[in-house]
Amino acid sequence: MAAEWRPAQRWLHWVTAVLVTAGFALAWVMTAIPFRQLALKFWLYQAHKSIGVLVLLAVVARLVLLARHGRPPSALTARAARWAAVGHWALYALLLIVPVLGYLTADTAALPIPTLFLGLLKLPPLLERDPARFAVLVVLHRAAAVALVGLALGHAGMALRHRTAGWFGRIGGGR
Amino acid sequence: MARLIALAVLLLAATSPPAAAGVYDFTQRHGAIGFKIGHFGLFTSEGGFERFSGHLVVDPARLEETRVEVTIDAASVAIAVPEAAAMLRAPDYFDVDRHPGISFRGTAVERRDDTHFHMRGQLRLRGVTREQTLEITVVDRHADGAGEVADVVVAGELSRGAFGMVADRSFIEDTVTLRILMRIRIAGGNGG
Repeated sequence: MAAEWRPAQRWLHWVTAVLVTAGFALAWVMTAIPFRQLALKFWLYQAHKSIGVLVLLAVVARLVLLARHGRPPSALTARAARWAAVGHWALYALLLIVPVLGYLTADTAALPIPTLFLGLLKLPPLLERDPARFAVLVVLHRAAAVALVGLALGHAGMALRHRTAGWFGRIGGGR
Repeated sequence: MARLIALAVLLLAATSPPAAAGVYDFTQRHGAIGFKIGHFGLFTSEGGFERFSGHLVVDPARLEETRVEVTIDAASVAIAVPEAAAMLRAPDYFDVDRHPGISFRGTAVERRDDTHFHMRGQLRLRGVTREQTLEITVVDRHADGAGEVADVVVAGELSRGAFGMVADRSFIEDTVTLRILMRIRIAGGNGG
């Protein structure tokens, strides 16, 4: 068990938070702007998709670091720590699931628009275009994203609560 | 409402058809008119027209004298997503309220070899008429119960800008590639 979070773990935590916030905000904007603004819509979708891939990479890296270095001991009661663990693993799971569902959603969409990672690297589709699958995937992707953001807000709320209670948020780098 | 007029496909210009020529009508039931347009290497969009009709005068012994007239219902433009189809029907693109028809009149055919022909004609799109060339490849010719049919692939390119379709040039290329697949009757059947 580690004494405290490694700098890379802290850094990746906040990178994930920023990426998820940006990806979620972009999702609202990119779907709301009119189709007629083709180029803007295209590049907003591309930014959203690149963010998703980055989230996936960041979370995989975090899981590797977690497996290698573990996490600091919890200051919570045993019961609260169990609930916190459930919440944390659910967050990790959603952080993996939401980008994967998004990737598959893009693959199955009616228009053959590629996923250009960072606007440059064309990523290979994993599924064929398929409107029926798209209709299901888009709903699952959105639902999982809403669950992710809801859980992340809950996570932030609990962290703040513990911080104000005197258990300074260790992930924040405080004491 | 507007029925339409114009894109094109196959064969002859004319006066009176040659003595042995058959005259045939065709529609979307006999083939498909498709187009493709690039987005600067990012991806390619494909679409087509769901309603068109044409008139073909053809003599199997003298395919170079083939004449064709095609009228396409511009509002029947089809593409994978409804928003894109609506955009294509709007004034920036096909402007179907003002120009419901797209038409092509093929007036000169040049034989390259037994299966390849070059057709020149007039394409009218958005009220603008331009010379248009098409390459015709006969991929199959066979007899059916009523006479003889040919499967042809017609390919061509046009500049959308030449027809005043200049919107979204930063995202949609100017060159549109046409690909038309058609099973045409060249002898027998209901021709005359």
